[in-house]
Amino acid sequence: MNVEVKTYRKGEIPGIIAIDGQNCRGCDACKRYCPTGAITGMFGATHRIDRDRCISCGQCLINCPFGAPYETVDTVEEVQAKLGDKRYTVAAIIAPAVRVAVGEPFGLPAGSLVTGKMYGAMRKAGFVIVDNNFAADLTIMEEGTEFIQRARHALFGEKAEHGGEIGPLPQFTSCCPAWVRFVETNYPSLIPHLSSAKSPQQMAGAVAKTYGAERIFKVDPEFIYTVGVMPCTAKKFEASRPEFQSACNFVKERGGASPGTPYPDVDTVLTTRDLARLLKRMKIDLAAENNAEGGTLFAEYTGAGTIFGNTGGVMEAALRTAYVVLTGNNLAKLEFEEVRGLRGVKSASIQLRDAKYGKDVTLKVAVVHDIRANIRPIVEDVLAGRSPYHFIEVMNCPGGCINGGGQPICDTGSSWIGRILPSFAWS
Amino acid sequence: RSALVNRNYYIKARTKGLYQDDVSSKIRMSHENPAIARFYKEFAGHPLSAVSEELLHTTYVNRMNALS
Repeated sequence: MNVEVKTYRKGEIPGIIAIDGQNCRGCDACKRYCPTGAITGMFGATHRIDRDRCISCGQCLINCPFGAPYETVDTVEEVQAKLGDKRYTVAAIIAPAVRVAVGEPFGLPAGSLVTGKMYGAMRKAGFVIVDNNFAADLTIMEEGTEFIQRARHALFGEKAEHGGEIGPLPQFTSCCPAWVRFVETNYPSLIPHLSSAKSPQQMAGAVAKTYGAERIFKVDPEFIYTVGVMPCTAKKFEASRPEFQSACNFVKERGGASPGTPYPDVDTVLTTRDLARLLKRMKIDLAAENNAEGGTLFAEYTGAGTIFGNTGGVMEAALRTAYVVLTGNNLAKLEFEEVRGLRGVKSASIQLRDAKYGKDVTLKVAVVHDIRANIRPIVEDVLAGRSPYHFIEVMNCPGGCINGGGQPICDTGSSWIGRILPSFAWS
Repeated sequence: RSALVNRNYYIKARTKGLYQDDVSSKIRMSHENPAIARFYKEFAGHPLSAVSEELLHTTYVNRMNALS
C-alpha cells in the first residue's frame, strides 16, 4: 500500500507503526491510547494509521490485545551483520529505561535493574558501550545551561554572550521525539519554546563519531556504527531526521576524510524488544550473564542521568544541577518528590537566590506525561501567554520512557489477551 | 487484573528500578560526572560553546502546513 505522506522530509522514515489487517479485530483499544487520533476505522472493521498524524510513539502497539500494530522497520539482522564485520566498531547507545525492562524477556521480574548483566551480554555480542545515561548528563549540561540563560534573560534582561537570540520561557524539554513531532505537526508556534538541545540519543551519536572516534575509540568515524538501543519506536524516526548528520559535517569542515555518502550520527535504532531478539538469536542469555563494567569513558553516568527514563526524571536532573549553578550552594536534599509519580500534570515551585544577580527568584516547573490526556491545557496556556511555568518537561508515554512503545509487552507473547476475555479487556 | 492495572504494575516496577539506580549511584548530579568534565576540557570547552552548538543542538521544522 503506497499512500502519499506529507509531513515527512526526504530521508525520513515515514512512520514507524502500521496495523496488520490480518490480526486487527477492530476493537478500538488502540484508539484509547493514541495521543493524536491517528487511528481510523469503524468499530469492528480493520483499523489503519494515518501516518501524517502518527507520532510513532507505539502506545497502540504495546496496548493492542491482538498484537495487530507492528513496526515497519526491523534492523536486527543488519545489526547482527555489522557485529560480525571486523572493520566496524559497533557502539550501543543504551537508554536509561532499557536496563529496567530488558530483563523481562529473559524471565527476570518486572523492573529488575540489570545494568551489569546488560553490559555483559552486549559486550559478549560485540558492542562497545556508549551509555545514553552519559549523554543524559551531557543533555543536562546543555539544556540546563540553556534554561539558565533563558531565565536570566527573561527575569534580569541578561544578553546572550555572543549577541545571539535567546528563546522565550517557558522552555520545553526536547528529549522525547514523539513530543517533538507532536509540536511540529500540531503546534509549530511552540517551536521557539522547545529547548534547542538534541535528545541524548542524538548527542551520543554525534559525540561518539567525533570526540569518541578521535580520542576514545581511535578509529575512523566512518567505521563507527552507532546503534540506539531505546525503549521507544519514535527514536527510529528521530535517527532518520536529515539534520542529524552533524558529526559527518563537523569532521568534513575540519579537513577530515569526505565520505562517499554522508553518515548519520545514529546509524540505526533497536527497541528494547529488538535487543532481546538480537541477543536470543546470538544465543546469549542475559539473565545468566555476570555483571560487567561498561568499559569506556562513555559508560560513566550519574544518578541524575539514569532517572531520565521516568516521568519527572529530566526535570529533577535539571533542577539538581540548575540549583547548584544558580545559587552556588549544595542541595540539602537531592530528591524533588513533587515531580515524581503518576499524576498527569505535576508542578513544583523552587525558591532560590541567584548568586550572580543577588536576587531571590521562584522557579516554577511542570511535568507532563501521557500527552493524550494531559498536554492540551498546558499548551493552550503557553500559547495564550498565561502559563505560570518557566520550564516544562514533556514525555509522550504514560509514566515516561519506562513505558515506551519499544518496551517489552507486558506478559508473554505478542499480547495480553490470553488470560482475559476480549469483550472487557480494555475496560 | 484488568489491562490498565497490569500496565501500571509494570510502570511502577520499572520506575522503582531507575530510582534505585539513582540512589545507588556514587555521583548523583550531572555536572559532577568526571567523564562529562573530561569531554568539555578536551573537546567542547563549555556548554553552549561553538562546538556544542554544532554537535549537541538542533533546529525543528513546521510540519503543520503540509497537513492542512
